[in-house]
Amino acid sequence: MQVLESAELFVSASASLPDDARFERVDLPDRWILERRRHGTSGWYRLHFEAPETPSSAQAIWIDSLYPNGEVFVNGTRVGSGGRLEDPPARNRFRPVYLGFPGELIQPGRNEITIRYVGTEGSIGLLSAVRVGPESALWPLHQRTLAIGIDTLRVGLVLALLLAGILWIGSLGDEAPAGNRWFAAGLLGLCIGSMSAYTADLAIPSRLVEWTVVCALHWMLLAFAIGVSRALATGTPPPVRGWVVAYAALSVGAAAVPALYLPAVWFLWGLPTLLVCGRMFWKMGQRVLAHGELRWAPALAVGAITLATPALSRWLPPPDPFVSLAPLSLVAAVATHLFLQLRDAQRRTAELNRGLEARVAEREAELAANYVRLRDLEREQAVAAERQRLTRDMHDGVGGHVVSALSQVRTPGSDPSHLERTLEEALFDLRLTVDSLQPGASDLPALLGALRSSLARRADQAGMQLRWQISDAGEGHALPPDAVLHVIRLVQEAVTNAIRHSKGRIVSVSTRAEPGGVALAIEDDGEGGLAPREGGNGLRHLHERAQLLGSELRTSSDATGTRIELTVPLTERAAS
Amino acid sequence: MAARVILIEDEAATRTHLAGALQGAPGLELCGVGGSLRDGERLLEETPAEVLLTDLGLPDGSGLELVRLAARRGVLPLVITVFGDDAHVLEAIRAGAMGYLLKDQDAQAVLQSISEVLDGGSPISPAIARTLLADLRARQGPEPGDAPQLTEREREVLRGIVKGFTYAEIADILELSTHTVSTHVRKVYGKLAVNSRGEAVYEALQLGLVSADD
Repeated sequence: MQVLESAELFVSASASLPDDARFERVDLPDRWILERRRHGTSGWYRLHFEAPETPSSAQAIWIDSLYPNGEVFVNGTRVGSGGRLEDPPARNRFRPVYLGFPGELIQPGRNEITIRYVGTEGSIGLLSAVRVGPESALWPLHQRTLAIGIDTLRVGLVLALLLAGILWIGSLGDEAPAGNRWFAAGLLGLCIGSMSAYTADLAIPSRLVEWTVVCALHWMLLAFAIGVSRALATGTPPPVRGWVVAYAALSVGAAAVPALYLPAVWFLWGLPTLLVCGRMFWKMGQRVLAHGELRWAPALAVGAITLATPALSRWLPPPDPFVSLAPLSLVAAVATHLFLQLRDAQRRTAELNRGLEARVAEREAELAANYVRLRDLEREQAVAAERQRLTRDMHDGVGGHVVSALSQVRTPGSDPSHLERTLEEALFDLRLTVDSLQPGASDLPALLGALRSSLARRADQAGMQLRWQISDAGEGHALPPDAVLHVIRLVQEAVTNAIRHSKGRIVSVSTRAEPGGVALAIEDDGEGGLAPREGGNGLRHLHERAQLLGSELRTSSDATGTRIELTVPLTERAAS
Repeated sequence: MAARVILIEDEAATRTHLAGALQGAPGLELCGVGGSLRDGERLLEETPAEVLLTDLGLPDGSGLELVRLAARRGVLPLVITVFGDDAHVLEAIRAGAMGYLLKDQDAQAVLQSISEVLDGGSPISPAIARTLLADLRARQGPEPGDAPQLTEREREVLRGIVKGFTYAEIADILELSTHTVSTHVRKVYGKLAVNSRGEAVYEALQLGLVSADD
């Protein structure tokens, strides 16, 4: 087997080698950098080797990289190509070219290999050293290279693609700035758009590999770009975000023009990528060396190998796994870094959330406890108020009548009808108390309603008519326990006064709505003269009760009758 | 024909007072007087009657039993109470009572209440009306099927009673006849009589509609 590392090149787009071709000496591997591509993107190589005799076994030519493509001739006879040569040519990225031919093509002495190289405007072409020798030597080499270069790539890049996808999805949260999404969308479009050129006219497995490689690289760039713009967008002003969008637009626009594709990739993506990569490895190095965070070490190691690849490849015999693995290792390093970063951020967020939740729960418990305490206090107060009211009620009402009845019974010769009336009064009062204790009795219309039959009976007995004009005013408004007692007593006393002293025919009780409460009036059509008639005493009681209700008694009394009126104030709280 | 009345009251003075009021009342005939639950059951078994007057707190049990028994036999039950608004009256209405008498009512008022009930009316106090409304409001919760639904008219009538208005006044306000108002009240009584599932089942069991083995 011979390794041919020097050749002659003639740059020409011609499909056949012209007779007047002017060859120049080049060393292999030979790169089609931008400078050369200004003169042309395709050309012819000529290589020579010596053979002692015509071999009897099958021979082969093996080229590690004939990128993008080309066809090979031995002593003027075509032995094959790397695939489709018409525009756009199939690209043999990471795929060595193996071409077998019969041994008779080699003649003793000097032999010539001619390679028609087919390039494109947008990519750096490469012809690596050409190996020629027996099939038995080159075929295993080819297989090994495929196994290392292609199969490893296939597995590794699918992995990288997955990682990059996760990162990409993770970075597209709700809180991500809109610029990120535009940038991402643009890059995705570019990625899909350039797929066709890479995959045209390749056998299916290779096409799949090519596609995976391209996707992985673009996905990587994508995730990377998002990371950068995200970092920029955190707390950065809109102009910076605008810059990110403009950058994306420029990248996509430039990549759409084949002549600008390569500079676009280099300057718009490559340079920032290098910068950010450098910063990333620097930080990873700090983490590992300064803080002893060993989980970052694998990514750092992979990154270091990547950076060292050009230097390593110089001393390594082909096939050169490091060169073909370099992009993969970069992808893996970057993806690992971003993934670890994302996971850290997620962990911090989760911790923060847990802390907040705990605090909220604590506050809630505190509030609930306060509420229970307050409710208990309110209940205690309500019970105390009700107890006080009942005590006073018994004292004012039944108590007095029973004492009076008792003294009458003890007085010899007292009038039994007088005793009967006192006992009736006692029962009446007791009934009032019972009424005021009924559930729901705290709303004014209901309170008065319960009074009516008792009052009517008394009026009846005295030959007077009770006129009842209770409106809906105050319905649903709970009166405080104290007010209940005062209203009942006040109405009872006022009506009793009218029955006893007015000498009228009709006594009426009426209510109507008023701002801030309900106006309650008791009037009769008697002969008036309220103040002297009462001797001041009964009226004073009424005034007191009105005051306790938080109101003021309005009285008028003349020859047409007496009128007592007050406003029962209502609280905003509705009856439960 | 005079309406026959059974009177069950354990307190002698009240019994005498009420019996005195009933005896010799036109259109009424006192056909049995007793002072205990056993008396009442026996009288309801043996003596055909139209009206039952019973106290609730009897020495050997609750007058509610008598109310239920009377209601099943088509006898109109009325309960005797001190205040006319305690919780027992409500219970009695649920058990089927059609009205109540106050213990201190004079003879004339007693006779009037009885004849009202016989005429298809039902006495109801503001306090009872209020409790009814509150009770029904509370029951109109998750399972409305359980509670008897009052019509808007019945509700209006009850609200009028809560405010102390008489049937005549309510009839005036709602532009109905007095008779219609009293019919509404009676309907409310009827709805209350089977107002909880438990009692309905009890009733059904008593009536033999379902057997306890089911």
